[in-house]
Amino acid sequence: MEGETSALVAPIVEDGGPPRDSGLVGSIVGHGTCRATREQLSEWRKRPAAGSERDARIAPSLLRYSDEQTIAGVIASFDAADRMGAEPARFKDWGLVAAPRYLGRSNLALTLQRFGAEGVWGTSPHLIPHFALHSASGTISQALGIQGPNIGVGGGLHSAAEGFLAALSWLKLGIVPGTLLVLSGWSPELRPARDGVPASAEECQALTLALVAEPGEARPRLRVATGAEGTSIASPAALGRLIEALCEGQGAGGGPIATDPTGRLRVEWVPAGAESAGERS
Amino acid sequence: MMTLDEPIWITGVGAATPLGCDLATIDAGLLAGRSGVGPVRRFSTADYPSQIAGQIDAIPCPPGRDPREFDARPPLERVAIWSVESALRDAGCWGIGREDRIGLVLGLGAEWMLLWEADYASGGTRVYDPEQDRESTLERVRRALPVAGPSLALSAACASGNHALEIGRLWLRLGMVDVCVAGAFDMAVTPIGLATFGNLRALSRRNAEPAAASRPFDRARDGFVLGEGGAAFVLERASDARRRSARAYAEVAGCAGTSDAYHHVIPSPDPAPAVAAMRRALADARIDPGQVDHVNAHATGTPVGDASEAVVLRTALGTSADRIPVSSTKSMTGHLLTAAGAVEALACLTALRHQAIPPTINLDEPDVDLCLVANEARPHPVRVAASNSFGFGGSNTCLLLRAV
Repeated sequence: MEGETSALVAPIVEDGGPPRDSGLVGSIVGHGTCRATREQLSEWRKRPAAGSERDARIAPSLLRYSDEQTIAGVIASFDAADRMGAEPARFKDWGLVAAPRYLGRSNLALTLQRFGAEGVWGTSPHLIPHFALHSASGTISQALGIQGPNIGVGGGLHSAAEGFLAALSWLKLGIVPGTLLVLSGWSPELRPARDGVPASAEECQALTLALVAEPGEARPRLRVATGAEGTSIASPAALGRLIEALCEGQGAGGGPIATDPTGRLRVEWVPAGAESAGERS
Repeated sequence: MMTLDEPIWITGVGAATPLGCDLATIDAGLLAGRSGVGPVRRFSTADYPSQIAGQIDAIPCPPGRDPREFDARPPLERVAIWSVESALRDAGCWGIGREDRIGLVLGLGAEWMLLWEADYASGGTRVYDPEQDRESTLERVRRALPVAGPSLALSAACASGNHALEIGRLWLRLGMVDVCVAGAFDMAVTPIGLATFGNLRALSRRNAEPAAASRPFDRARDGFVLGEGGAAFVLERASDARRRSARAYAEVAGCAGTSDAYHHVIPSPDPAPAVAAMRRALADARIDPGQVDHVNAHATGTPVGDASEAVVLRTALGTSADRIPVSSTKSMTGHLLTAAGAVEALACLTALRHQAIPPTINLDEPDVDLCLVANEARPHPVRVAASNSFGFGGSNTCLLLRAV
């Protein structure tokens, strides 16, 4: 699924020129990640308090029925808080946008088979609470105690680009002091076998970005565009590359891409057709 | 110069609901207190605890389209295309060109579940093969319509419609678009949809009396009734709408959302987050509770939800709650889930246009202390209408619509 062209993130831009005002801009002031196998997430689901002190704040029942992407999103969000040296309470009034990709696929595969075999009574009552587009954002808001608005966004291949658009829209509206944007998906894309178990070894990935409105002196820039060619956030591999860029450094100038107050990463949404190829790395 | 204070008007409406698929029919149904709930007809429900729903008999094919091509599309896509196209035509924005200046924000909560279920039922393998899922419902709807501006699919469960309207309003105020269509849709009356909500023990089992089954605020309630459909609204800046002498249904005057951070499906016993959503929406509209003329409540017909919303309304509206007429139109449409907020915004427009409050039907023995409009529409001056929508995941939203 590489090379999608309708929703893109040009990962790192260092053109040195003044930013063009697309209307929607923000700064990434923190990030957290999770990359885990299905088995690792299953263990964490059973014993969230076993990982670290922070996990003890998660009620054991909270993630019992959650999709793996939701669990990864919770881990990444706590990781973001830790990297920022902040308690989750700092985010109480923030907004939360979760942009999962094909959430609930393996569970629905199982549900459909069970429905065929057992009928109505074999159908889980947890489908809508835990495997619909709103499920990840609702659960993460509960885990972190976020009382600002929470929404799920996208849901399909271009979920991440839609997530940026929603998060930056909220920031522009000024209704929240910041927004946590949680991007998640499987790489390679999850292919459940007939018994619901993935047919190959996938990695579940989640990236939580802490976004605030003021662009400050942030450089380099992360640009989110629609309708142009470039590196696609839509591909399963792209989320992993973005995580690597944030964690290990992938900028044209080399070195880590900092998201702390000393080197904020500016993010801006670019209208279709407004992007020039020369501004992408 | 555009500002974040620029008034945003609703200039077009399109909808498909259990009460009808055109505004006049829906208005008439809401004001007549007609129930759109009946036995589920599309599949056998013999094994289901709840066998009733608010359904759309047939999703109309928009004029000029090939009915066979249209009917081959998934139901969620059809209901969205019908509604969005109808709204654009209603607003006089169909075929105006400038497609890259028309945005689209849709509440779509469970599109993949619906697509995978329908495909599997017809022998497909889509749920096992992500290569078949390259294009989302949002993208297909966008491609089927003259819409090429920014687009976004979102879900806050039953609160989705209000969030969609809020984002559409912002994009207009920022000048990102000149027209934005915002709405929400769901088509959850499927074998799996009815089963999962039934097994959640959330649905009414009053199967012998479908029209009497949805009973918000009534002591004899026994759960909510599933519904399907949705509504779309064309939003424009007031200055643009005036310039082209467009008809305005209402101004999107205020909107706000919060989260309970309490439970996946149960409302918080602490009303503060939901009250905050209402107060922020009032502040956004720059009005006080005394200026609200009507509330379309979220009230689904579950004992916990109805009671907690009554507390929220009492707290947020204060003594004004004694005189503000409150209704739950879910008593007539059923609960449209992701689409609920959008359809209830439409019911608020009905109240504004007809200066009459649609009733809560099946309300024989109220068990909350609110100024409820029971069983028959009530003539009432309505300048500002509020619509509450709360959703799974702890979402609370309030939308305020003001007469223009």
